[in-house]
Amino acid sequence: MMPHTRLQWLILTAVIAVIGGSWIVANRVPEEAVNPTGRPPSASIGHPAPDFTLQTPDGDSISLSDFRGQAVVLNFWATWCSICRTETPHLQAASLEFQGEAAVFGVSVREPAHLVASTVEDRGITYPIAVDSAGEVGQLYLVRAFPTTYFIDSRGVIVEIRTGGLSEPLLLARLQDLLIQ
Amino acid sequence: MLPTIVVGPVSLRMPGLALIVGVWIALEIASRLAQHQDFSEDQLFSAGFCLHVARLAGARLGFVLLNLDLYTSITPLSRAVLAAFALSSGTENIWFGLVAGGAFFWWFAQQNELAPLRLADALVPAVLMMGIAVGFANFFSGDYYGVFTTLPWGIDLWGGVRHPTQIYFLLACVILLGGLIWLLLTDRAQGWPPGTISQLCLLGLGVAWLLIEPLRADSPVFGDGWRIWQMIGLTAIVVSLLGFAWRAPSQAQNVQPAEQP
Repeated sequence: MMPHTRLQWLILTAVIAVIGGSWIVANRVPEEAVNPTGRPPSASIGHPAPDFTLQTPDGDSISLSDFRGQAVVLNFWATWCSICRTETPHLQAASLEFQGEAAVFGVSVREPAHLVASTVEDRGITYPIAVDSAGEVGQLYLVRAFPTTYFIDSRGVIVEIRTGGLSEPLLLARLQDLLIQ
Repeated sequence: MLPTIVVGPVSLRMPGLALIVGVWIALEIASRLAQHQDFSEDQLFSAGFCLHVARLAGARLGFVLLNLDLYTSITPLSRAVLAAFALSSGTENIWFGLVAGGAFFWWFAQQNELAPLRLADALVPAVLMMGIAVGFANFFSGDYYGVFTTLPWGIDLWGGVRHPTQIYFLLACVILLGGLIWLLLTDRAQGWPPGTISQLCLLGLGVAWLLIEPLRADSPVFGDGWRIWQMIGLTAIVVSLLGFAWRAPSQAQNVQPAEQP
């Protein structure tokens, strides 16, 4: 039945506004799902970094989203990689210098947890390390060579991808850039 | 998703092609339906074409102004100017485009002594056809993508099976345009007050935005997760209904039976 008078139309408008408003409230995007770029997650510059969950060498779960709100240096490495060994002290120093503002997060690709655990202990690594023994996350991030490092800003957006070793000045400069952004 | 197709040595960008074809069909439809709304074909074709150019120019100008540092960093100046006018999608600001289009529309109606609400009604078929073209363009580019679903009509996109939200919006525009063409061709809209067709279009698009947005995974949001297009949709619905309220009589009119002699 169509409204006939102005009052009836106004009442209908008010009812629809209330129902529509409630629908909008019910469909708000949860904070963790807000995508700052409007682009789909992808291992590319300008896209949100795809989230993943792996286990640490100790068997605890760790996700990229655990570092939400911080700049992240996501470093893919392997125990046999000599360049990775060279850059580890720089990553370790950076993780301590930028503690609380930026995180260094290492992902060991296609290696068993016990080997990663002994390497972490030998090299004195204290920043978080995840074990991607099946290589699925490495594949997701299109890792072709070691080390590969993703610089992710505090919104979770990839701003730079580097393949090859990082010198300490370069690493510190990039981290400072990330914190300014 | 089909961003480009290669035909021999030519690489065609499908989203752009869909929009260009959409503009042409939109102008054709609007001008062919012109006589049903007491306009000449030429009047509507030129109004639609100029409006589209004004909207596009405003949207690009807005983008350049908001990202002036990107363009000023290009040297030499001639390359920067060319970059500002280059045909590239994704470098438009929708809000500047709407303001520029609205201002041009008002100016065009005044200059040609056309009633703005009647002109708006006559351009509605073109707007809906552009909605269909935008739906196709988004489908080809992979933009406006949906959340994950297990429904049988989900499409494989960006790493999973998702709601085809581009197709949902496209279908909403097809239904609205189909209904409008039926109304016009059967002369059922004859005698409607000016602006009624625009109001119905606003109402239909508003409902579509309100219902489709929750299925989108890339909704633009502001503040505490508020979906911008849902807010615009509800505003469109309320404005449309207030238009009907404004025209309705303040009191119910009682029809007196004719006296018998």
